[in-house]
Amino acid sequence: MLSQEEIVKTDGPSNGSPLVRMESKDLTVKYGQVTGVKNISLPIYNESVTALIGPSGCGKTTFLRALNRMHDLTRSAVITGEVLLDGYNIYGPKVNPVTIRRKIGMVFQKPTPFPTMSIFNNVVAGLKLVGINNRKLLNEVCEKALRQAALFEEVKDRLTDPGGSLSGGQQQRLSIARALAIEPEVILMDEPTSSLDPQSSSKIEDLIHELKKNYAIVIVTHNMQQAGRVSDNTGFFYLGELVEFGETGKIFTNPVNKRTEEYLTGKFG
Amino acid sequence: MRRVYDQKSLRQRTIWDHFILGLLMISTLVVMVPLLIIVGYVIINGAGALNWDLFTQELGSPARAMQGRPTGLVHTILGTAVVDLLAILIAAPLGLGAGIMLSEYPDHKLNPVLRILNDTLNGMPAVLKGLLAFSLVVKPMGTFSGLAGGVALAFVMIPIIARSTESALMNIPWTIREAALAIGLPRWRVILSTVMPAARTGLVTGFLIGFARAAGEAAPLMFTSFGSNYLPNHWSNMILGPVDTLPQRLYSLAISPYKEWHEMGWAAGIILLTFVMILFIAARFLTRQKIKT
Repeated sequence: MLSQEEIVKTDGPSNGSPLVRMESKDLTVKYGQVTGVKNISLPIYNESVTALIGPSGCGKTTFLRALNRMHDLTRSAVITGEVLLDGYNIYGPKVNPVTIRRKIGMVFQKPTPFPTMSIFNNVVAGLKLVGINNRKLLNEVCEKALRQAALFEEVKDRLTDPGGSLSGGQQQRLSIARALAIEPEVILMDEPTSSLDPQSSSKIEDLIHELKKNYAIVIVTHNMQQAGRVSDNTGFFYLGELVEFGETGKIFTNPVNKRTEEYLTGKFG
Repeated sequence: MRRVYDQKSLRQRTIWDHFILGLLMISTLVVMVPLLIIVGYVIINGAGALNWDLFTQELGSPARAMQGRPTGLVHTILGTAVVDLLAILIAAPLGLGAGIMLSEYPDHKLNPVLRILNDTLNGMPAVLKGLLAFSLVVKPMGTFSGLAGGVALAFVMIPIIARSTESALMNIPWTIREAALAIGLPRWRVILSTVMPAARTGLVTGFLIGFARAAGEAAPLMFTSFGSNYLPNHWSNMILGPVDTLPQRLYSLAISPYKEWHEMGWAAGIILLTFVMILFIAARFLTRQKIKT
């Protein structure tokens, strides 16, 4: 188990942007005979947003989940290649996936508040459930995380209400606050706005803009306008391969690969 | 443009809807009526035999009842409580563990075996479970005992609890587990603090179904807890010595040749029914949604 210090004081990202925070090297994920993604090599820069786009079933989510070892639960999943976090391979022999996931947070497609917990307990679940019971500290962390997730003002008077009592958009921001509360270094977002209405979506996008000042963010999205709005770099996935990766502006205006251009102009996908 | 459906088909579907609803109500009645008849019949026949002695006196010999001396079932009531409590204490952790294994580690290579064993145990006649407890507990101890009865009833409860635990946990969306893992919680903590609380109602319901099923079993107790007409001389002999239980006592009162004992049997039925009902109501009350703050 992590010590209290380790959890609360993660070293903040350094300033030498653009710094490669994470990097995948020849990453391949197979489910039995089926290949999810193959030979993906991709840098994830600090203090920036990396968007992963591509048609359904192209492996974006599979790749994203490989970045914090969420495939560990699927026994049939076989992963080869490396994923480096600050130069260390997270698939190394002595690495504990639990430690990795505390450094690489994740927000899912659907809001997932823990159903039996209050708003407060949802936010601090990652601390409280590993034995941190200092009420003052928990209160501070809770408020900070909710503020970062732009939810604090809306829920500050009802922190003891069940997490499930919030609207869908609020629940998603609650999920983000919960991910931020453990102070990760990288945040992975798997289509975080796909189940939300436009207003909630735009709130989340504003939030991503705010968060990238301190974190490296990877976002999977089906919404190309969204990718264009929020990201600094974009990777285009097709049939399990990374077809093109580069600065978002360049990818959107002047893609090198024909596939990318066809996808962006709506010829398929 | 031609409408895909017109008024007529709408009316047909409405009629069909009413018809199906009617069928559902009839099947509900068919399920309810026998239950009400049984409960009603037991109450009508047993209410007359309910008296204070039933809860304060031990049974003794048939002569007591025939001569109108005080006789009752206090040793049976206490014995039932002890044996059932022992059974749930043994069965709850084992059944829960097996259910968690089946639901939370679906890929584990032992699971197909566990599932077959569990289903076999579930389908095994209760008498055989009594025999199993006999060879496991009665033989080594050299005496019939409440403990042996508890073990026998635990064999009845375990597969039911395991199965209901599995399905209660499976009802919790997988995304909850992933969300909990993603904030860096270890696997056991995910199960204990996010999945199980969410499934609490289902888990308790499973315990109850297992418990109620076992509480009504007489067969596995005949050569394990054996039965007795008297209170043991010391409370520990409720666990270590032969002890009486309601289902088994009900059976032996019913097959006895004495009219007084037949009446007492009906009263024992009321007590057993009430016992199970109180448990169900209490559990419903306890599992009402609560949010921890």
